[in-house]
Amino acid sequence: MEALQQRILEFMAAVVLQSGERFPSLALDLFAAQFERNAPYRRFCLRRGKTPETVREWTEIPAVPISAFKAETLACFPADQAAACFMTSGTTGGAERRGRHYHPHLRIWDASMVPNFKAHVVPDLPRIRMLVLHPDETVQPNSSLAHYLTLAVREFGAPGSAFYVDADGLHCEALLAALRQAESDGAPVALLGTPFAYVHFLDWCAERSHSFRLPPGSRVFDTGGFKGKSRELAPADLCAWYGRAFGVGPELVINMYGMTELSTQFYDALPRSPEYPRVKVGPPWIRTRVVDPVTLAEVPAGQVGILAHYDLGSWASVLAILTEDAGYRTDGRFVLLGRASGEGARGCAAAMDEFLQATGARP
Amino acid sequence: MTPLHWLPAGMAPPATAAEVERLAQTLLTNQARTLAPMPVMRIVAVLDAAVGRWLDPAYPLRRQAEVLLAEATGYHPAMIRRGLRRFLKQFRREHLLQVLADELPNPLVLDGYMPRSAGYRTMALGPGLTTGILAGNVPALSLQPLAMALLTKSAFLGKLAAGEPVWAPLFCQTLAEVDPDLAACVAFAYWPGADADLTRAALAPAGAVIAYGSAQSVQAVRALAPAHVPFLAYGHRISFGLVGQEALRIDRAPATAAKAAWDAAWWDQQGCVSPQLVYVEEGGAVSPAEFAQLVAAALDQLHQRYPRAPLAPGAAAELAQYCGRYEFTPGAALYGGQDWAVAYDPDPAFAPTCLNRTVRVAPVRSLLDVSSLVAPHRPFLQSAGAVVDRDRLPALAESLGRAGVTRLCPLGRMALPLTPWRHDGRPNLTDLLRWVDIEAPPEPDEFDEEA
Repeated sequence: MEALQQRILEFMAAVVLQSGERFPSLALDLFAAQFERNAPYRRFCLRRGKTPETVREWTEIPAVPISAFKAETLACFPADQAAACFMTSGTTGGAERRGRHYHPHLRIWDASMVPNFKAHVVPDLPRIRMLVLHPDETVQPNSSLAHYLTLAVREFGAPGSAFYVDADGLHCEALLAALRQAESDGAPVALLGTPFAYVHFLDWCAERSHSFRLPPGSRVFDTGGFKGKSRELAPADLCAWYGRAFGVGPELVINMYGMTELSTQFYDALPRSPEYPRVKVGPPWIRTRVVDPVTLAEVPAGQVGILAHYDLGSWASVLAILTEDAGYRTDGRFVLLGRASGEGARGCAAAMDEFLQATGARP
Repeated sequence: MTPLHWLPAGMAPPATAAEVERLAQTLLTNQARTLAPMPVMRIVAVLDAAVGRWLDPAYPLRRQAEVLLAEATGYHPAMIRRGLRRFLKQFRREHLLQVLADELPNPLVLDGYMPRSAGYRTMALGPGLTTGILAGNVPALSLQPLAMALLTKSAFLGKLAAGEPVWAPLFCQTLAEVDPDLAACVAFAYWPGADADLTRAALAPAGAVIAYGSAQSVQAVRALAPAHVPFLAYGHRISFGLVGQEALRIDRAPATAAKAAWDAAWWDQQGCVSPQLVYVEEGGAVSPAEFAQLVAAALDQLHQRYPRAPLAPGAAAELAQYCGRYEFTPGAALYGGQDWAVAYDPDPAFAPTCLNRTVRVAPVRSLLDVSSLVAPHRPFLQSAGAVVDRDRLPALAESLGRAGVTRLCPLGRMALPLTPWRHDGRPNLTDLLRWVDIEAPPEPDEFDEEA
């Protein structure tokens, strides 16, 4: 797959602004390579009568439900030769196994991340001081988010950038000191973390009556949801709340949508709207269809369906995945509505979510 | 779908806590005036007559309900027709009398003081008002708490669920046709579950609360309910099937699989009595893995006659992920995946499926091993449907009962508990009743002896 990797890298290197006309042929070639090398995926395709000979359009490439990553090794190479194995969250000993995404190397993953991050998070600055409310990849070697954030700091972090979460938890005092330092320096900072970490930190601050007015150009980046956590806030409320807490306007509140099962991320479309819901966009090497998850037929624009992503960045596993995220298509892009669930049980029978909650495992 | 309402004459659907309060007070006043002095056999007769009308396929309210239920729930009309008939048949006079006889040595204690042992006289009083927080859209399920509350001469205030706000108000029209006084002691109204003030107002004057729903929603209701009244919670449950190797002979296995499919297809598995998992004993002529294929074939046939309701995007997403997982699990097998699904899973760990006619089949060496698999999940356990030879039943029933199962029935009859069913192992009436005893006055010679 050397030549194919090279073509994907060239595509990614050719700047975000270019058109995606290379996508269909690269996707079909990659599908053929994955069909050949990934035996469980090949069986999945064959049961649907899909082979590289019968699949004519990239939209026909069979998308694997992400639950498959929990059940089987989906790799085009021996998994024991992986340089990285990113795992989905969840308790290790719980009723639910964690999904695993193996990568023989991270060169393409990184090549996908860097220009996309640049375009959406730091288009205006070569570097910015990053205060990260998350562990780095040495603490969490199986977390794609930890790798993402570590890469972000390495590529775009100015001196003074630091990770404020380690095995001991979130270091609120140190983060507080860094934010106060930024206020007196007058140089913009970027906060990066999950909503859960922000809630934790801002609750801590609220108890002590701390609030912030970060220098102009400072930004708040978040990713991920609250699933299974104590509090749930809508993105619009989070944005308003970050604004009040840090003195950052909505145009500099940046949400990233990523998944362990992908190798490319989506961001709020530019210019970032103060209105929610925001539209999500990805670079030209990833495409999204909004489908009926059972038939995989595309649903009409504006109608709610489930997101299926086709990511050339996942060259060594499967490029097409079916998520459990609901959304709708608008203007060729999509709006993410969050995880679709809780509708399985309409009556009095218990379904998976309630059961997993009771057994202490997170889905 | 716009919810229907049933309210005492002259009242409008409540929109504020004060209006809910006024509704509850009206019900209490009506109860004291008409229901409290009504002989219990009269209540039985009214319920029987109302149910009787609903068993006539031409009865206009039933026909209206069939149309509205299909619209509200998405269930196929054929399933609604059959399901309503089979459920309502369980609430005729003889069934209601059985409930009374089962739990009360002398049901006339509901009408006044009756003699009891050791010279006592005793009377049983129901709550003045029972408030029911109804859930889900297994149609007509609200008849169970309504009938039991009425048998204790309690007025009933039902908060309808958004998914099925249709059947109970229509049934109350029938009650009014039969006995307007009794119907004036019943109300069904809808307001959003998030309106805690309205719910609190409905619970405050209640002498008993019956709540259906997930552990989380029942907990939320409990927090709003008055502290010292009976609170009967019916949380979400998981039921399962058990197939003994004797039912896996070549000539019997397809019929056995059809029974499992039938139980799972009822109300699209939304009822807590429908099996999600079927344990199949190894060593029969048909293997557990082959049995899974037979269940798949049977579900496919059932789908032709009783198609499953269309799925909302979230439910469809859950189905796709559930199936994807078993399609990729080494050693497992997946059948179907659109209108129904069967997963054969070599791992017999107890867990629910994603519902909507999704059955997991798992092998066990002996059915007696099942109790240890399910016992850790006692709070979720409910019905077990078995096909085993008669002589194996006692040992199986013993082990499953101790593990936490509250109902053991033949496979194929899981989805239709026979009245008087003890839902989740609890009595139907006595939880709602309060007893008043009169000790006999002392005989004059007792004083003499003491003197």
